[in-house]
Amino acid sequence: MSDSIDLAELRASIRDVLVQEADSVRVHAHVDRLAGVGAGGRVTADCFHDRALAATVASLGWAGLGVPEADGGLGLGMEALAVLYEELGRCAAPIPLLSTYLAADVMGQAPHMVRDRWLPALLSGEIFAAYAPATRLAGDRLTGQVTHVLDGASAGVFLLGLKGGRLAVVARDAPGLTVTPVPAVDHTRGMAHLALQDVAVDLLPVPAAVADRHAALALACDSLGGAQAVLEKTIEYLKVRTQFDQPLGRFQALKHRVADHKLRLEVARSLVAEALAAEEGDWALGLAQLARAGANAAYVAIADDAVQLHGGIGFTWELDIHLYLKRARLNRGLFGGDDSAMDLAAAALVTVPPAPAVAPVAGAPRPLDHVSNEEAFRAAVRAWLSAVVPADWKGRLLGAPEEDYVAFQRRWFDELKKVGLATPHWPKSWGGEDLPLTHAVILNEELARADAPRPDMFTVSLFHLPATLFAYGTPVQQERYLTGVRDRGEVWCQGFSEPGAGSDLASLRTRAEKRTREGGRVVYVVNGQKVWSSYAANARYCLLLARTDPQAPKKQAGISYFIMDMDTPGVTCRPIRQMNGGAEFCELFLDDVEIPAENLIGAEGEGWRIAQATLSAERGLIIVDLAERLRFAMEGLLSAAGTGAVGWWSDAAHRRAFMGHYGRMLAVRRTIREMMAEVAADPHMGASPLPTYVKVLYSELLHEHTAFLLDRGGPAAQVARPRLTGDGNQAVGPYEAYLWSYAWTIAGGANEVLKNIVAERVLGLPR
Amino acid sequence: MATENDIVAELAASAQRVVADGPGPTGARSRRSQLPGYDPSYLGLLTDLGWLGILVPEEDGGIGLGLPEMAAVVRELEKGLMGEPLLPYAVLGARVLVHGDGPARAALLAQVPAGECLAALALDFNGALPAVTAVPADGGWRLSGQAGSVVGGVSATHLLVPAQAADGVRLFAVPASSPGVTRTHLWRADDTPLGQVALAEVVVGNGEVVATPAAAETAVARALDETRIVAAAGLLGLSEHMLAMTLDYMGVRKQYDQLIGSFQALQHKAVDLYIDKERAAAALQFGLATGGDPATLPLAAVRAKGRCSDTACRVARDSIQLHGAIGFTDEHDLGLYVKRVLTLSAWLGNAGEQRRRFIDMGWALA
Ligand SMILES: Cc1cc2nc3c(=O)[nH]c(=O)nc-3n(C[C@H](O)[C@H](O)[C@H](O)COP(=O)(O)OP(=O)(O)OC[C@H]3O[C@@H](n4cnc5c(N)ncnc54)[C@H](O)[C@@H]3O)c2cc1C
Repeated sequence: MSDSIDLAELRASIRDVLVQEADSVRVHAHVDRLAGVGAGGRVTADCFHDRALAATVASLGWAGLGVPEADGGLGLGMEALAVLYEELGRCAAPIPLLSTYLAADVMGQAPHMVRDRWLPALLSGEIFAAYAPATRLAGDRLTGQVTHVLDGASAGVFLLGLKGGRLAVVARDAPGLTVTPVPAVDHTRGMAHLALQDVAVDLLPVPAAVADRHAALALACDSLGGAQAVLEKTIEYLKVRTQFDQPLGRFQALKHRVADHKLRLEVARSLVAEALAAEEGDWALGLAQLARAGANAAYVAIADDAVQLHGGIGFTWELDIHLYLKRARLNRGLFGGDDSAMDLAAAALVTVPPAPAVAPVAGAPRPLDHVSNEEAFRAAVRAWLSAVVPADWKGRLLGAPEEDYVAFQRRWFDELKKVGLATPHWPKSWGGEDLPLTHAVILNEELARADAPRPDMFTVSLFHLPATLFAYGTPVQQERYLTGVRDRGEVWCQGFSEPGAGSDLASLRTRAEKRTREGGRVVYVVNGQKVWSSYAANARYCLLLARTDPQAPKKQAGISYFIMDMDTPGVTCRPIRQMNGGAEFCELFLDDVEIPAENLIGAEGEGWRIAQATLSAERGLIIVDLAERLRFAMEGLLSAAGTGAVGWWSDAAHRRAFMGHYGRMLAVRRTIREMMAEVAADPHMGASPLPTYVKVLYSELLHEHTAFLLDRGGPAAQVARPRLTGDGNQAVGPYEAYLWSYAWTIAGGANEVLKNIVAERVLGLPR
Repeated sequence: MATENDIVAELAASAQRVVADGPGPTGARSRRSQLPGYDPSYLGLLTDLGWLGILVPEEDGGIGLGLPEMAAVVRELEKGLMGEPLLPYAVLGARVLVHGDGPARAALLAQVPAGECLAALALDFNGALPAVTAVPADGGWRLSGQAGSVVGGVSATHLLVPAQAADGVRLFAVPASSPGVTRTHLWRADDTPLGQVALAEVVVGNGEVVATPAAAETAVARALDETRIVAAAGLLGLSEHMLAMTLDYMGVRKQYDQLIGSFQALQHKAVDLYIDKERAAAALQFGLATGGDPATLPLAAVRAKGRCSDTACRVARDSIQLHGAIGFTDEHDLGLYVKRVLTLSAWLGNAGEQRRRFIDMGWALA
């Protein structure tokens, strides 16, 4: 297959053509023409597309993109067509290529007789095609009606999905077939009603599923392109339109709305990419439908709001916005509508067996000895996990005292450490394993599948600390503290937040004053209060932010970053009970705490910049395996639904809501993999928005999904049960999981604040 | 003569006073996971105020007011987390008795206003009738089975048990101290007790029949719907209270040198919550206006309970988010309200279940 460079080039070349041939002026002209037709003009088969554009397309040979080379095409497959469909959607191109290339794809797989008759004409642009999925017709002589066939008005040949999952081909001029063109409100496309009276058709040996998958993916791409374009136009408008003496884009409520749209678009994009990558069978079919529903929903939401965000001008005929809105609305209703897409996805995906099988391996191999081969690595991880994960470890921690939890965490950390899996993501020079991305993905999948314990108590030790010290620590600090984690399992906590400084971390007031003690020993004397410091009561050290220069012109500039020994006199730690019953986070009172000068990280006043590295690790990386665990939980539910064990599954609204969550989960996982690839290429990730996306998307999904499960459980799900001691990441039951989900929407930068960041730094709206 | 509205307003005002004088969230906090789940002296106060008899007809010894009056009281009381034990005894239990047609009805009902009869309806989870059977024995009945969800069950004087007999469902008032009755409890989300009752060959006389097969199922169904409407009022009160707490907090918490209430995205969120709350109030109003007629009662209950549950859950969720980490602590009172919302919204069917009922009753297609 083509590599991604080719696809980027392809996209650029398609866009070059379309900005000339299907720009706003041309599309409007076409729409005006058709609207005039609606007002009394003559409806002809060729008035539903832009003929000049069709001629250009024919001369460019785009039809061949997806067709195998043996059949005279370019053999670039669905990925290339996906790019084309997205670009067509981007400019709301008035041309029925989606249906035509879908037909070409199917015909390419048909026997010679059919293929030779239709494929050349489809590829040369001589005729267009239309597809009507899942009709109620059956047999090789058809009688009946098929209504609202997309692109049917322009089509010279029709592909019909029959009862029983077969496909039939029929020419527009076949005896007994009457085609009545139907203009759509979306004037960039047309439809037709078909009346069949004993029409002879060619039955194809190609299953309708092939056409359905193509149709779903194509529609998803069209929506993706349209959504992207209409969002860009809206953001542009928010930047230039001023009211109340400022650009509209400065209003925070509007920032949050477009940030939400951007996130929706990211989800849709990931889901479509995931569906394109799915190879075959029910999995591929289900994902295509899920992608279609997801992309259409994003398109509708964005286009709807685009009108509102443009105000009065958004309601005019002249602007492009309504073209997108109408196209979005039609997309959503096509091919049985989006509800049916969700139902098809559900039906296909309940049958998919969870996760790949591997050949069993005896004993408890050291997984890192098997990195040469992915399969072998997976098998080794799985075997190792089944040997070391204590049976019923959750049962034993239910309602257990805090000490048991701490002891268990230490034991589990040791177990991981023994085989190098406590710090596999660290670079080799620091005793890590430089584990390749593919392997890290496998490792997380297997940890999730085994429902293995999570070393939550070591979160700051394993993520925040290295993210900080790798880049900014002195060699001595690195040597001392990274080794401490790796070899001795030292627990760290993070002392950033204060009662007055939550979202606005830079306003922190804890004070560090430099003093010289006798013998010339330089120390910082720290006074202040920290709050919400997770696992501080168990921590040996703290990553502390304090103000060294209260006079600094910018408040960020006066902050410094310290390593604080929790045993230093003057440190008082008080656990705070949380609403979920746990008490991981703590208040820290710091009274004349002396920190030796060598425990300053970076230079004085550099604390704010360094803290960004810490926070970036917090936002994305610690979610990696959690998303994987969510996947296993959801797929467990899917397969239970497949066996009829889930009571609410028969309720369409609940089932579709679940499928929506499932799609979002798959999307987050994909974004996570992209983020991991970025980290592998650049451990500091610079200004990448991906960790922010991951944090917001995961936390919102977790929140909605756990609330959904809690509701399905009714009062029985709310009966108090012993909770799993420790934080709620591995909560047992929907109630615990639901309460804990707040930790994710609030901690690590509250989502509202992250949406400000998305709006300002990613979308470029003014501060 | 006082109009109906005057009485509602007066009752609401006295309930506000009761809340103002009461222990509020502190009391709720100290009662967590404590039996019976309410302060016994509070029961005395409710008796003195006559509120246990609001829904008992005058001819049966009560004060004979309707759902609007009880709803007004509960809506206010929930703001102080003081809706229990009014809901199980003076609403659900009392209304089951009111709708009964059996010999036990009158005497028990007469004891409700004075708090002498605390009758708790024995149900299974999700409002289903419990798996209890009744077999004739010695001119009376022998009851066996269990009920998994009996709110108020731990401190009830009587358990109202719908039992399956050969000729249909009969409703019995089983004195809680009867031999063969075992009462246990679980804790609900808000740490109030949820009774569980097991009946092992419990012998009851014909005199203990509250409703015969002709009336029993309807009596239970109607009482449940009436209770759903009053619970909806409680959920509305909780929504109002959480929203007020959140607006207060937005008016004092500063970040980035400004009140967080000045951030426009949060203002919009607050307005959305306010509108949602108003919509819930309208659904409750509809429920109260149409809940008096048995023909329209089910729809009234579905709408009020569904909407108010949904709104309260949403307000709860966004209130925590708008409070930030402090809202996630156990020390902050918000969590008590959120858990009360979880409990009350799930009790007798959350929004999803009301929607399901709406469809099952055929209204979706009507
Ligand atoms: C479970 C948990 C664990 C935590 N662990 C740690 C830890 O280990 N170490 C540590 O240092 N901290 C920790 N925190 C604290 C966390 O970083 C803060 O809670 C977070 O930064 C938000 O601050 P806050 O709670 O003070 O909320 P506030 O900043 O007071 O915010 C309140 C509300 O206002 C909104 N808001 C604030 N500013 C804006 C704005 N400009 N625009 C729009 N909306 C705004 C917020 O989104 C929120 O909804 C933890 C928090 C939780 C819940």
